[in-house]
Amino acid sequence: MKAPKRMCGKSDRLFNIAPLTAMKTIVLTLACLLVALHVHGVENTLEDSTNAAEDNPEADRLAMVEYYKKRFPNIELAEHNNGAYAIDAGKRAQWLEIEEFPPYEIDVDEGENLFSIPFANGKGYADCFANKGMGVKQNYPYFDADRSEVITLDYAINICRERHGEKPLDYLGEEMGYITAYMAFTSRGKYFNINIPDAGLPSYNKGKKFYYTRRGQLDFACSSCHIAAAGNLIRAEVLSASIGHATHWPTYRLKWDQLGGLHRRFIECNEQIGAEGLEPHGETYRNLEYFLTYMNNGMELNGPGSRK
Amino acid sequence: MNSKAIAFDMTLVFAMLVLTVVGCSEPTRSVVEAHSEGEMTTRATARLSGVESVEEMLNDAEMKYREAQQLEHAWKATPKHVQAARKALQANDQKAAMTAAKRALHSANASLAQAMRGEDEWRNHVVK
Amino acid sequence: MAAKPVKLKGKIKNGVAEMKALMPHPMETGTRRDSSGDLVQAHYIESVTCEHNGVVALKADWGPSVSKNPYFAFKFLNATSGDKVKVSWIDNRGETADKEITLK
Repeated sequence: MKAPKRMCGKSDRLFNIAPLTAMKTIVLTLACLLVALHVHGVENTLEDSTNAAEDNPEADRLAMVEYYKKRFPNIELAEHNNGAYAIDAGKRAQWLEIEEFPPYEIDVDEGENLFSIPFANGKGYADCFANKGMGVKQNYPYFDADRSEVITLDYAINICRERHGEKPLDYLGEEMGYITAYMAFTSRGKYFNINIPDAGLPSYNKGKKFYYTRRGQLDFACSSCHIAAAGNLIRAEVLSASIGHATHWPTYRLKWDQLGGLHRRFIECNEQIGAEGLEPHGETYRNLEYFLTYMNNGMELNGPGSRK
Repeated sequence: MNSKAIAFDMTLVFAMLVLTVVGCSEPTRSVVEAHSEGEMTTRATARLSGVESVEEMLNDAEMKYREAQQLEHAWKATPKHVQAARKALQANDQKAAMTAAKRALHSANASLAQAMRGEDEWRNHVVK
Repeated sequence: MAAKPVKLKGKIKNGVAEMKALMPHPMETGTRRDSSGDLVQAHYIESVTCEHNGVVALKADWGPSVSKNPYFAFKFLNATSGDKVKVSWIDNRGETADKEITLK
């Protein structure tokens, strides 16, 4: 059988490709390469990408709200500020009994007392906060442009103390619990309405990334339990919805036998999935609280809370 | 004749298109891949265990643990196993020390792999 | 540390008084150790007395097995509006606290 001398046609197309088809080939190849490059390169290398088309906290929040509406069609959105007790009737009944005479009542009284004690220099907490610190918890956290960081309430309390020559409080200690419980109590009935300025977007994005990143030996992200598995049982607990996660702090956990803040819970959660907990009110957890609280916009504050 | 030329052209272009897209596409992370990555870490560790001493493995694990801490992805298991290995070494239990050292190194490797994978993988979970 | 007053609430339902009390108290067993390794001294409520219009309606013997800040609920019959109810306790160190309310 004779091997064909030429591919096809009269001209020897391997060495002398006709100009028109060559042009087509080049153009098409370039087009393929450009498409491939676009898919591969541009988007995903920067840690806090401020790609304007992506940055839309309100769209993020609405998407999350819609998700929970679909996942829990028989539960009012507003009820999710009671966490698992919005979801499980049996647990709710027990919790309501505790709430008739909640353990944190004693702590709120103690907080009121501590809040009024002046610092060594004669000033007090009331001098550091708007409205003397009464009914302001719903404004936290916020992005401080001067300090270029997120300020949470507990962080603000310690900034206040240091400004007036006092030693900072232990974020996981009882005294911080009492003071934040009192401030939370005065904010009951208010609503979250966090506003994120452009300068605060990188912090919001870092918090968002943390929320969705897998960590620990169990390789869970916050979303693994609180979005994908919300409403399911994890051992004997019911997984709550994140849109109610910021409203009820500090919380008296019977397990802790004292009041604890949101960051104590962050640490506990992270350790439960085998990851090392990070610094309470350090930059990473403050950014996470910023993201989480924004997701809670529109929810009513009901702290301090009581939980199992 | 001309139609054959066109057909050849189109085949060439199509082949280039296919190769470019396939070559540049990101493989989707499947559970199978994730598991096989875990196996790779185990095999990598197992390969080393024949050659490295317990001390070398622990030093490696501790270095990687500190790296993971820098990335805020450290696992509680790593220091736990390192401590267990050191305790076993003191008690002269070579077998227990080797087991603990392997676990320490494996968890350190896995935590770093998790940190690196986590740079992009989180986007898969975002509620849309 | 001075004894903190009892918190007391109550209501009447069909002639039965339903009382709820929350008693701030450390309730230390005496077997717990603090961060320096020393035993924390035992400090717990030994007995609780509930009076209805001055007459003892209930007496409870407690001890170290009751946990911190005890919550205590109880009911009693023949309650009418205007009745006075008093809850008091005494602990192993002789400290006391009480609270009296008037039922509506």
